[in-house]
Amino acid sequence: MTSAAGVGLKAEHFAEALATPAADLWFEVHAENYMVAGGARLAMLEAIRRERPISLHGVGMSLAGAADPDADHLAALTRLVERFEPALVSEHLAWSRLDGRCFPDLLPVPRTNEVLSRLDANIGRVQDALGREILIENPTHYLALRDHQWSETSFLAELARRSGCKLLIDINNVAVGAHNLAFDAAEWLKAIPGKLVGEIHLAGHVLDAEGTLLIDSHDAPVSDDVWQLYESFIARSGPVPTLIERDGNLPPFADLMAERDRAQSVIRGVLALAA
Amino acid sequence: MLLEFQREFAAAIGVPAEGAMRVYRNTVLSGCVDALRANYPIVTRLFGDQMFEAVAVEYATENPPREPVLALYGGAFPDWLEEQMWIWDVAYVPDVARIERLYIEALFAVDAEPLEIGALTGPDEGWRELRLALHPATRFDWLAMPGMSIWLAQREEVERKIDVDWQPEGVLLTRPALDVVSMSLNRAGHRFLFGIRRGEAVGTAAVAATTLCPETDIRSLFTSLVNAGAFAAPSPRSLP
Repeated sequence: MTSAAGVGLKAEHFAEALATPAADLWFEVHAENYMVAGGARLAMLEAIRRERPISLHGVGMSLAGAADPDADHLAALTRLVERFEPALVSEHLAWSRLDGRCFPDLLPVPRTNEVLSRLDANIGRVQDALGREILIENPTHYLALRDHQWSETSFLAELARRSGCKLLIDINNVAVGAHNLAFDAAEWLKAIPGKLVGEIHLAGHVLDAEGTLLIDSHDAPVSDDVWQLYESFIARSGPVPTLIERDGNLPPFADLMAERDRAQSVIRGVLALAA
Repeated sequence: MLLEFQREFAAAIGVPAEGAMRVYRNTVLSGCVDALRANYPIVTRLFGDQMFEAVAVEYATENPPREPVLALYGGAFPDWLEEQMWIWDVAYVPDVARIERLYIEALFAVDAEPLEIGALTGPDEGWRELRLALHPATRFDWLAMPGMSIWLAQREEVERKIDVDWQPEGVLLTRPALDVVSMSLNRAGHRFLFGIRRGEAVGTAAVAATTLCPETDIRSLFTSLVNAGAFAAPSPRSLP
């Protein structure tokens, strides 16, 4: 896939997503939503895939957990990858499965040597099963965990070096975490080697009811501060495939495309500079 | 160490929490509630959103997801609803939930070609020996409450007084192509499909259905089931 901007695909936007003539557009879906045996949802994705590149974004592999990736879940992901031949496959630096139970969330881990080894091993199993490199997304932070042995940026870079994965940098996650844990988002992003980054996510966030924590809610337009961080990052790293994520308060497709076009023009800007 | 960390974390978000832990707890619970709401939209409407959320949180706490794919989450919800003491005031809701469950299962079932009526061109005598397979999306049940009538009326999304005949009724849902098809079943229709599912020949199932309901026009029943897409297209050899 060329370094272009894409949009998260929602069923509500299917007809417009299929019909839009936008050049270089691609779509991302949550892999788990398509791990069903048959029906209209899969048929819809087939139709989109005939027109556009897609990216499969997994939320349930629990790579940062103590257990190996679940064999059935990995098999389901493998089937999807074989069927849809996505341009990108990504997962999270998080856990969501424990003792036979699944949590529909991306739960955190301390950045220890033990966790680094587990992640490396689990990413290796997924990459071996799929026969390709995957991207790993940086988590959103709400909680200052104790027992970290690594800074986050060096942990991510080392994980990519060891496992051969690439990074999916969610700039909204960085901005939300920077607010909640009081670190500098711009400095954090400067410490990420651009050559390790295979995709960027941009999304909106909200302040929680108490007015203290930012929540990675994906239910608002991308904020101005996230756009600024994005522009600086792209200026440094060069063009990277960039996704506009939206899950709640779904606006008209045209509104998402307007955000997508803004990201596309940022990418075009650095391409023009490089030319 | 990591396993202990995970277990402590899971325990901490398993009870009401404050600050960051509340964010994680809320995300986990709302993920479950959203999945239940998506899979039981008519039950959501019958309860109202606020009550449904309270009920769904209770269900999700007792029956957390066992897999990361939530498209089929909530399989035990209808039976769980029926066990709740307060359900006696709305005793028809578990059967409506059962229909919504069959709908979701049909929606995501394996795609397959349905048996077309035109494929059955042989002499009637040949049909008696015919063994049909149900379409992989076919789901049917016999319900003590008229859940189908309530479900159909609610799906039309019109505010009107429903004239419900409070009798048991059968329900068939299947998906011959992309759209789920529903059909009410009488006792004969239910017995016929039950026979086919357990491997009876068409003739055997037909005799059982007409024995149960002697007034049944078995030819028209069979035709309507085929037209609904209840059966899978057989391999050409198995047709008469």
